[in-house]
Amino acid sequence: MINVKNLHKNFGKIEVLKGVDINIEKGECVVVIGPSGSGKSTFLRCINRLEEPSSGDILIEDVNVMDKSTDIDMLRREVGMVFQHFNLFPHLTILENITLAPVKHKLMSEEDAKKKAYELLEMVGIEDKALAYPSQLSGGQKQRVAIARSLALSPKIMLFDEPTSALDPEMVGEVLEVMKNLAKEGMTMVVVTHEMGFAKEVAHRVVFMDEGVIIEEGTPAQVFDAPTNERTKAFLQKVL
Amino acid sequence: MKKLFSKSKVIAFCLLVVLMVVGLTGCKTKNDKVIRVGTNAEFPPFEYMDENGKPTGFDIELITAICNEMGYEVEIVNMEFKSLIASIQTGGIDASIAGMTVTEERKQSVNFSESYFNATQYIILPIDSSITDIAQLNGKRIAVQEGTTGDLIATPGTEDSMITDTSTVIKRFKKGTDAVLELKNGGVDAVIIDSSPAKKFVSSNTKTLKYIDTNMDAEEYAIAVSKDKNEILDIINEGLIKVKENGTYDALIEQYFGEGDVVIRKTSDNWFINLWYTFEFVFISNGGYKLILSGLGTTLLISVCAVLLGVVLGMVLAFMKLTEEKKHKKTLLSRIASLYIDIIRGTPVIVQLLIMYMIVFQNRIGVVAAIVTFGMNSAAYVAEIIRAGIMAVDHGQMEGGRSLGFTYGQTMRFIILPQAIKNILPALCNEFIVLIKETSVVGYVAVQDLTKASDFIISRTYETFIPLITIALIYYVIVKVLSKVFAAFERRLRKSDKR
Repeated sequence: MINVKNLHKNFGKIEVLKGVDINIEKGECVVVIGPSGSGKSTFLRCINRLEEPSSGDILIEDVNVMDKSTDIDMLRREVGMVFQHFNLFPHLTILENITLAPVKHKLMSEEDAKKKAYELLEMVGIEDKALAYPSQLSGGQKQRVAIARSLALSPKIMLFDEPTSALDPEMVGEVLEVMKNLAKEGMTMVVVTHEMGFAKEVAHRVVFMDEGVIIEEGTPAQVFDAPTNERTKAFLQKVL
Repeated sequence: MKKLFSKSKVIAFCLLVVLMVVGLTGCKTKNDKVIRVGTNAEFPPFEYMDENGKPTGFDIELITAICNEMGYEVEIVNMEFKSLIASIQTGGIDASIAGMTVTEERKQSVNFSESYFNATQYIILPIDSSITDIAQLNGKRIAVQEGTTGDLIATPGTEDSMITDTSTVIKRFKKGTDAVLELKNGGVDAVIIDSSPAKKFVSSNTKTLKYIDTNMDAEEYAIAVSKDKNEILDIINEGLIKVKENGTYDALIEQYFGEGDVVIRKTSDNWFINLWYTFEFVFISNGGYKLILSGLGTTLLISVCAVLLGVVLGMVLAFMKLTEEKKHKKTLLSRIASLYIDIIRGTPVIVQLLIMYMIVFQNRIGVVAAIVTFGMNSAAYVAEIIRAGIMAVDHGQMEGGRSLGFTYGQTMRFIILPQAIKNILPALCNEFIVLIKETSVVGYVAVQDLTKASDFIISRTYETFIPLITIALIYYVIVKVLSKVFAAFERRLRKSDKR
């Protein structure tokens, strides 16, 4: 579903990604871990070209994201993204946050979009906040709305960029729960996170990145219980 | 890098040239039966503003009579006295009639008609002054109207000077009335001015002023015409002979220089009643309220149009500059916008106004020149306000919008701008307030706005307190209303934003 080949990314003279290769299957939940500054967020943001890659190829369902002729805006409708800081639109209600994209893209009527929004809010467990503004919600609630907002476009892939890093500890669980259910339903997911518990329990595959390359990958059991690379071992020792 | 910069400079220059060409060609539609005559309506009784803010006086009626006699229409253009000859040379006007004395110096630049009036120079003095002769003005303080004969004879070292002491203080005013006001306020010891206005000034201030003759040779007033337009000179000379023959000329002399009625003002010992009498004199019996109203209309017209132009142009400039943020490097558009903003912010608005009026608009349609100037000037500041407002919105909002498949433009429209407007409004309100008050300098290009209206009233009534306080109040009220409207806007916006 996602094929990344020899992906490079420079910020000025600093090379952040030094050749990343990975194939992600449909329905797979891939968790990317690694120390900060290892390039895992940049890698994730390159997938929907929020970050412009310097070289390499990214194919999503055999469409090359890097191609100039690819309509990146159409492609992004298929690739949902959840940010560390939620990025909800503060001037709109929760309901409007969710319905804005499907209505403005003319994918749904206002009525249908609202109906779907309520379904999604029920799924993430905050249907009673539909008419509130983002500022009236807790961090965990905001992130669940952000997930619902992405799902409103019925994407084929969901990207999560450290979705729980900005949350108070007691709110991490509720967000991970939503993500767990999503994975169970067969959503193709790429998750950058520091939640090792989530990785162990939900991930089909764990990828360890450091200094702009993938060092080691495998099932959670392989990576967590029997890491082969010294850097993986050192990292896991620090976080577990 | 260097090369790109010069490229954008070239483009900006081209835009300016195009603008000037458009401005010039727009003015080329001349009617052959209209003669454009410049004047400086600050020299009563030859030329001054009537209560409707239109130039009138002996000169104006004379030139109208001359041209009508010859089958031509007259268009009177009011400007600074010292701009008259330059405007004739550039073709902005065909001729000028402004109590202008024929001198050898001026003959180098323009042709003069036959003389239509002989004048001599008078000295206006306080009623109790002991001065009896011009020689006694050496070492004293003298007020004159800039560029007039009075200026020439008062300035030591010039060919015509009658003053030799270089320690003599010469104060030059744009208007004869300002020179007389300076004398009344004790700022100078004497005013040297043409005989007719001197008589007029003294007749309305008989209790405080008197005049004496300089006993110099009489001067000849004549109509100045471009050296390239001999046909107009012929028309005027022929018309002048005709109006002298048919009695129109004598009737005008009697009307303006005969023993007219002197207006008697009511006065009272009670300060408040006196203030009311002054108020009545300034605004009602002298028709000052009409000047104020039409001036207010002009000020509002210029302000509103300039604000609209400023906002539209400012938005274009802001988005030109924002292309830089989108591409993460300087673009041609952002360079042009930056250069424009740099130039506008780096030069005084009054200089921009003079360039626009005198060079681009060739001394025509001052109101439009003022609107364009203030609109273009304001746009530079509005652009920075809008850009700053947009930049202040969290970067995550753009990413949030783009990740949902919105284009850059859609994200701006649906997500960024609705939030940015709250940052933009207060600063924008401030900019509008500054703009409205800045328009008070349009008098420089002979546009009769509110400030100029009070100027006229002062020159007609010699009262300063009431006209100035009145327009100050009017400006204050306009600004107050504007800030209330903006405050209401802001409140409404904040209601939808329960942060």
